Amino acid sequence: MTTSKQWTRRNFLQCAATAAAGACNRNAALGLLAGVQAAAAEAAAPDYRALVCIFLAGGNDGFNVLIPNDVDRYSIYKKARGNLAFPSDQLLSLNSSSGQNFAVSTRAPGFQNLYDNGRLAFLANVGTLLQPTSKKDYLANAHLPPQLYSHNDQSDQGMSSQLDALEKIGWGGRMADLLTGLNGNSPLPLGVSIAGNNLFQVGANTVPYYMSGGGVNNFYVASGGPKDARAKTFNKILDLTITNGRLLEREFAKSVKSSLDLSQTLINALNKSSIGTGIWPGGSLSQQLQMVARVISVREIFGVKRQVFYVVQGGYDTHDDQIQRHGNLIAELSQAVAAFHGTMDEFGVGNDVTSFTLSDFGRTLTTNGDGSDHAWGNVQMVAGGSVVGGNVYGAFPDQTIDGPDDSGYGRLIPTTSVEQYGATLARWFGADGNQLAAIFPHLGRFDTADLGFMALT
Amino acid sequence: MKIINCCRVTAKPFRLGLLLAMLLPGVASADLPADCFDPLAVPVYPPTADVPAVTSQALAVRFLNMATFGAMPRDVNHLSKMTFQDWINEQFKMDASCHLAVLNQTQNNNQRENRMEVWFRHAVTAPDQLRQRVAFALSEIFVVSDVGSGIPTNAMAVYYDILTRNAFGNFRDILERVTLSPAMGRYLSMLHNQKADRKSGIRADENYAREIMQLFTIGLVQLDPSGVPLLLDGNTIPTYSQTDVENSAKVLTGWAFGDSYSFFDGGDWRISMKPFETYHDRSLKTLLDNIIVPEKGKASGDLKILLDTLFNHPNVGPFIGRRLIQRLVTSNPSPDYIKRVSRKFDDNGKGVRGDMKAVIRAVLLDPEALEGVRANANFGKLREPLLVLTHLWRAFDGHSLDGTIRYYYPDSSIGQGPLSASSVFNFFRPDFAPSGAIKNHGLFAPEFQLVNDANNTRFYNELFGLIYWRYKGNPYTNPYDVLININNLKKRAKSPGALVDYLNLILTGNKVPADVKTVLSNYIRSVDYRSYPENGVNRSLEALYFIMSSPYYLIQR
Repeated sequence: MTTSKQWTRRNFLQCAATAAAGACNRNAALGLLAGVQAAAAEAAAPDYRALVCIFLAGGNDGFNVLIPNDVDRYSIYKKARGNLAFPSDQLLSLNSSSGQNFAVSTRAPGFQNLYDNGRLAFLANVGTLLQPTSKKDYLANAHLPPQLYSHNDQSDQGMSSQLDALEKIGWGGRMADLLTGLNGNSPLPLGVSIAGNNLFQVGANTVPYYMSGGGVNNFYVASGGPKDARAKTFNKILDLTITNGRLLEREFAKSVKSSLDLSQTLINALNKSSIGTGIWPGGSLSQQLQMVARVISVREIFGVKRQVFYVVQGGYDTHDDQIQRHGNLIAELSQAVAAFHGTMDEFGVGNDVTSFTLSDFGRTLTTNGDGSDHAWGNVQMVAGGSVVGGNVYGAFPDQTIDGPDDSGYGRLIPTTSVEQYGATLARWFGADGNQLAAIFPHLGRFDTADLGFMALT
Repeated sequence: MKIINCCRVTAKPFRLGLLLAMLLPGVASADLPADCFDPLAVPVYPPTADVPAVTSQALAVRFLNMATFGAMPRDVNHLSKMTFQDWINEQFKMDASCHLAVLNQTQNNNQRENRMEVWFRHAVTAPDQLRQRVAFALSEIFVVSDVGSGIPTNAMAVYYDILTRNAFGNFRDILERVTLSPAMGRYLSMLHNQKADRKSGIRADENYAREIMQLFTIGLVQLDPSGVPLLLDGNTIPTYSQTDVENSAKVLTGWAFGDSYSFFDGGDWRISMKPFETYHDRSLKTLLDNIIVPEKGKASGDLKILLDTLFNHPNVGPFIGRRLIQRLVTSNPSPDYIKRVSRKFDDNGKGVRGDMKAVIRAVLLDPEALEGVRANANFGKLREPLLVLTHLWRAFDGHSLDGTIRYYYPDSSIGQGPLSASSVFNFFRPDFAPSGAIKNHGLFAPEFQLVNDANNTRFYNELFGLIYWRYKGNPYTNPYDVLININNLKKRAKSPGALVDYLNLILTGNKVPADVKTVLSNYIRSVDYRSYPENGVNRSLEALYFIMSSPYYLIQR
């Protein structure tokens, strides 16, 4: 495609018609903002939905986020976790009206509040699985995901749900591939990353837009406007490279060109954005979620009906000094998530925005002295007004070391697949049965494609 | 991928012999780290021979862009009078410019800003450029980071000097010195790793055990000498199991700070960790490939068995070879190129394994490295942000008024700071491929992991500021700004074609094609030669920015 070509309505229709086949990328939809605004006002469909992936980088110790609160299971927990266990006087009990008796640490009051108000659910033991897997299967090394316990491999598998594929694409990106048509001619891609490059949002035909927690900046070299000789020369060199350059040169030039073309459009829209009137905590995660809130606040200017966001909170690889480090992390997480959903309520999209966690893997229940090591099954959190909250979904594992759910040292064998988890979210987001099967290749091997934690209205 | 029946069955007798050899008392002595230059002395660059040129300027530029922190006129002139081989040999003979010694000259050796300044000063001005450049490459393989790790700044410099001083030594020594450094010990939690204690429910920490195998030596799957995964029944073959990780973790127990009197005291980051046998797991341990660590061994003896096992694993040559090629030369080396390098890793020609000099020669002097796209159509790599800045300041003598190079916050300014990756997986992974044509061709472009909309804007704007506002002669600068000297450009600014040609030569080795040069020359001609504060300044700055921001510069080939 010639990216310097003036964009026309006819081009756009061609693009929209072929979007599903990937013939159109985001450059193609540029220069249309004025039209987009009009179209968005016209259509004004109420069914906006957004998913916010909060990636807890390094491997969150989820079994120190959701803690069993009945006497029997707490004592098993305490024994398994040794010096990593939260003492009972550092626990906040969660509302047990659903018949489930759990607690969170006193570092995470935001979780307690959201859970007790029915706006947060936990998933008890999620992980990468090729098919339902028992301890017997594990011991026989039968159909296990490749490279268990390796950071990058397990992150990639959780973000792609394509455990056994050599060339992986992300399930957030595949949702964007299939549903990007709902966003009409929006110049903004369906995926928006506030935390840099990630596999989760890379689809077969779509790539996300990457902005920083600070928003979008102009290119100084183009600050003279499109008619300025300097900006024209800069663009001309990029165009020549895209036409005549070698592969690496061409691909790099395309990336810069695309960033340049979109930047001014986004700056104009974001100038009208808001983070609401609530109080946000400090820290990088909060800053990223504020940026997500700003983009959502101007969703109608962009004319988008579906958005997938990606933010990251790092530091979860707590091989040492875990009590302090992990406590600080979940304190920040629970405050930021609570502030974010409060803001969504204020914007009137409380039921339309769902945040959910992913992480590399769970961690060993056992201690290596003052920390934990790489494991497998993990607790995940889903929050928002459409979450059937106040519940823990999936079988909570037996935390007995060397018990039926333990593959060794408290590396728990997952009982829920990350694909079931993703499919439940994707269905709420608008994917139909065929699309779910296309996004999650092993979904049919599990007993249900809908874990029931999302209200499907 | 190549199909084989199984590689290791035939290899077993050899490995048994290897095991026996390892259990015998060691007689091999380690290479000593290189001496440090006097940190107070003015850098001395080797004199340039007064002979006719033997290497063209364009080829010299191209080679120096791979082997140094960026080609500069002095080095181009120097190299043009000799062969690449002779230049490498000259570099091999130099002592090391050590970072800690220079950091200690600053007012506070524990201030991160000072470490950044010292790093840039070395990258831009140190005479031992090849050593510095290889050390930086090693720092992106043996990753230690000050991001979120709590490792003091001066300890980071101690660690960097291990890489610098051993860059031309033996890989086995690098592996051991890295393993026993307290910085790595803290970063991947081998420091204070202790044997299992049933009563308190403690078991050995697996962090370093896993990453030394996955990232520093052998990787996840068995490779042939050209880096191609071996297959068994159509599947890749793991190099180690989770049990191997757990047992290696036991081997790595019992190490504390080198100045400790008891296991948990001490805190000297300058010296290697030392063993405390009461915290070391003395049980019998079975490592990968069924190597046995006998019971009742001491911490250092057990460690030697593990390191020897990893060092002698056939994966190391292709695994480390490919990474060094990617860091210095090209993102997608051909399997034959990797094989030629890994053969030199296996044997330097004199029966020595792991000789870094032989490996570096093989990486830089390979026909594929020297012939580029003529030898491999996919040749090339994206320049890392740090390497663009070091090149700018080398080529145009960038420094602050007092000779320092105060660029304190590269991580926030350009998204990359030395020894400041966000995790042990470095700033980018060796197998990263951006979506689109590169991925669709089955190729890799690690540095593209830093390329996205937000980073593109930040990088282009930072480069803009460093060029348009930070030049000698600009009255609106302060003494701490790193200023470039554009005299060589101003004197060519009357002739836009000559100005563009000069920049193209000294920065890219003539890689900018004619169509782009024409567009650029026409633009430069439209910029008034008369300018403030001096004639030619505007044209010089415009031309410099346009070449350095061009994909034909940023993709190095």
